[in-house]
Amino acid sequence: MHRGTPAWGNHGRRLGGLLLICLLALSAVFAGALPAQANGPNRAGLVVRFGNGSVWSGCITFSEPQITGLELLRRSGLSLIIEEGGVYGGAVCKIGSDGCDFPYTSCFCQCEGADCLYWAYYHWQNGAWQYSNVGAGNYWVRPGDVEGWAWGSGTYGVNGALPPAVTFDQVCPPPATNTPTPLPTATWTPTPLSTSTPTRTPTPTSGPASIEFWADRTEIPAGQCLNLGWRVRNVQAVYLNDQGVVGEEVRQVCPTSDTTYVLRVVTLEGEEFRRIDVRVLPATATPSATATSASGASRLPTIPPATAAAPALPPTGTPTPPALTSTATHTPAALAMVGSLPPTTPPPPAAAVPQPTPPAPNTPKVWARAGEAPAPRGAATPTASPAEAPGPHWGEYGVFAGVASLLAALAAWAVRRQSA
Amino acid sequence: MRQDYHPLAWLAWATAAAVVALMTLNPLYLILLGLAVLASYRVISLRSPTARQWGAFLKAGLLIWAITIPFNAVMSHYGRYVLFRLPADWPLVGGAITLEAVAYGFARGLSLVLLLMIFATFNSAVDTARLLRRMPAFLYLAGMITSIALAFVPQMISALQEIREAQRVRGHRFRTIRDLLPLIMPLLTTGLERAMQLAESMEARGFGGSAASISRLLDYTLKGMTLAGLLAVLAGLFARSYWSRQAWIGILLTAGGLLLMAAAFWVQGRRVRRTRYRHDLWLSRDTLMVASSAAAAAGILIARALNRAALFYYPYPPYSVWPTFDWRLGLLYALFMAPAWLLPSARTAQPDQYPLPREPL
Repeated sequence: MHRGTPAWGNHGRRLGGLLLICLLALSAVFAGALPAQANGPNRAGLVVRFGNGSVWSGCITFSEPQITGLELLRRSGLSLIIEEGGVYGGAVCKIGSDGCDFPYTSCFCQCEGADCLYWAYYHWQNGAWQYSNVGAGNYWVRPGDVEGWAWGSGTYGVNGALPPAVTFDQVCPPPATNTPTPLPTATWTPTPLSTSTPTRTPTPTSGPASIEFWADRTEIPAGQCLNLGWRVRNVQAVYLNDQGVVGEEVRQVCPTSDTTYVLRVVTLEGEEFRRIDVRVLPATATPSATATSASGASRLPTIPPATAAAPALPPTGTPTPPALTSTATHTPAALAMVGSLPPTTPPPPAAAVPQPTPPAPNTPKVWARAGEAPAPRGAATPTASPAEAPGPHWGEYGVFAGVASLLAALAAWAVRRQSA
Repeated sequence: MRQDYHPLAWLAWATAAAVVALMTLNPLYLILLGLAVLASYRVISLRSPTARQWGAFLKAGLLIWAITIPFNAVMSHYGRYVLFRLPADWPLVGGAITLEAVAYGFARGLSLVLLLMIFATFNSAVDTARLLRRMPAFLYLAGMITSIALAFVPQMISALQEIREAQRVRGHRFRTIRDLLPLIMPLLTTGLERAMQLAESMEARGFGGSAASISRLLDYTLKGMTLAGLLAVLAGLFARSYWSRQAWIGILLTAGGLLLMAAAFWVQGRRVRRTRYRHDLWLSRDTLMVASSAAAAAGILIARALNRAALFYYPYPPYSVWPTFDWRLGLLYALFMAPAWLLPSARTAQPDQYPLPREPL
């Protein structure tokens, strides 16, 4: 039977066609399930409760119809360690300073027995936090959703610490009707397409505020990195170069040109600033800008928390002032606050703005410059510290090629010697 | 003079290579180790009758590797270097395809293939019967069971090849799933038949038959002691990880269980007398092989202890996708090529000859 037909002939073709139809149907179903988005950017809320009780919350804007819970967390700009892949589709090991330093330790290093501390994951549904029964990598966040993360004790897969109860409107306030003050030279309208408004819910404050902000060096050769640390107590919110950060962190930064780091601390009394100027000395080797060039921002002074969740700014805006690449583009409310600092603030507003190498017009500007990169490209590279990516070690790879070819020659020789 | 290595020398080589392969994900070191192991495998396969079957096993491993890379690339959409994008509305696979995900799949798959390669080399080089001879006396029953288990896979692969050849000669073609049935049934029966045959022939040669008889009471006592010891060790390990505050409970349980098992094994081992027909000789090249493997493993372990970042590789941010390479470490990996070089070359080799038995049987 079937004499003359090639193996897998008819059956194979039929099976392949069937498979294709199934796939198409599946994708059509998935695509149909998505809400059509026409008006404005999509927004979802994110609430993160840390081990010390402090809470970070933000409104994440995205251009896709839906993104995974993991992607939402990545676009928050919080420093993260995530174990990629696996059955979870990506497991969250560490947010801020709480969690496990995967892969040096296991991702659930504090959840290995009776006492289990881990990052519990929730969805805000029907006015309550629902413990997620899927991993963050497999959960689709739709516009209007609120996602919660909390570090604390619990039973993995059953329960865990709870984030504070919030509604979507609390995290993502409806956009203000008045458009933000247009920037002097801008020809584009700043549509706040992406990233977070870091509004830290007030932590219970008692006692005087304390602020520490330090760096291990203030002069580095180009291409090297330094550690920037801060610790604040009894405050309401902390921003590093207008990026919402946790209250205590040591962060490695690798500026490619002279950069000013400003820690803005919101206390009950008002705002306070701490400032560190970092000088980048010219090195003999050209500083590698491979990492940032991916998002087309290599020519700009890079400021570390640059989560390049680049807003889709039309590249027509050529006369963009070469201002700071603060990464968190803010909602209009935040813009107003940062853009014109309250007159009561002690330091001059200029102190709040890092001075880039070409002197910028003194416009307090918070919009991230997208560069030539298309929006989704930038959106794929939100990391805690994208500027520090070292490039390929070409010298070492040359040595490797030598060792490997030597080894290959030896191997071939050994085999020939035995097979003679 | 025999033309191979002592089974224990192979065991040392395979253990050291496997430990080293599991210790890093850095693809550069893995590639070097792969070259060294590949050379050993090729040299051994020129002499080993079972190498052909393990070749098929390795091909399966390579296929898994080839699947791992694209699978990881489409499932993990994270990284700094975006190669291209799939439409975002494709379920699961849609999104950025990153260099990091490809690199991770490559490294993971490579370490898997390496382990398979080490395993294949070890199995082609070492006759299972010669290895089982090294088993402690008290484990003679387990030794027989292990021999059947170890013989099963290679025998099944060779049976598969034979059956396929036979059916191809008869004009049988595989078109649908249903055509697999005439392949699977004879495969199962021949596989089991061969394994039973092996076990029977081992018994016929007196394997395990030399144990002195004991009373039923002692027999049950020994079995009970072994079981209790195993349970205590298991409970101890569990307790140690679960109640990490009261570690002493777990340690006590584990130690007690080990002691109980040791006692049972000692009594059981005393009953077994063993005789040898052929003696495995330990030659200077065995010493060299063990020494080089141990030196490589020790050097790599020390390098890792001194600098934890030396072997570290994890492509996803916040770490770098670009692996580092230190040539001194790289040369240590090259030491695993020793089995390929310590054998005398084919031209000078003498025909295989075993020493005569030295003691009366």
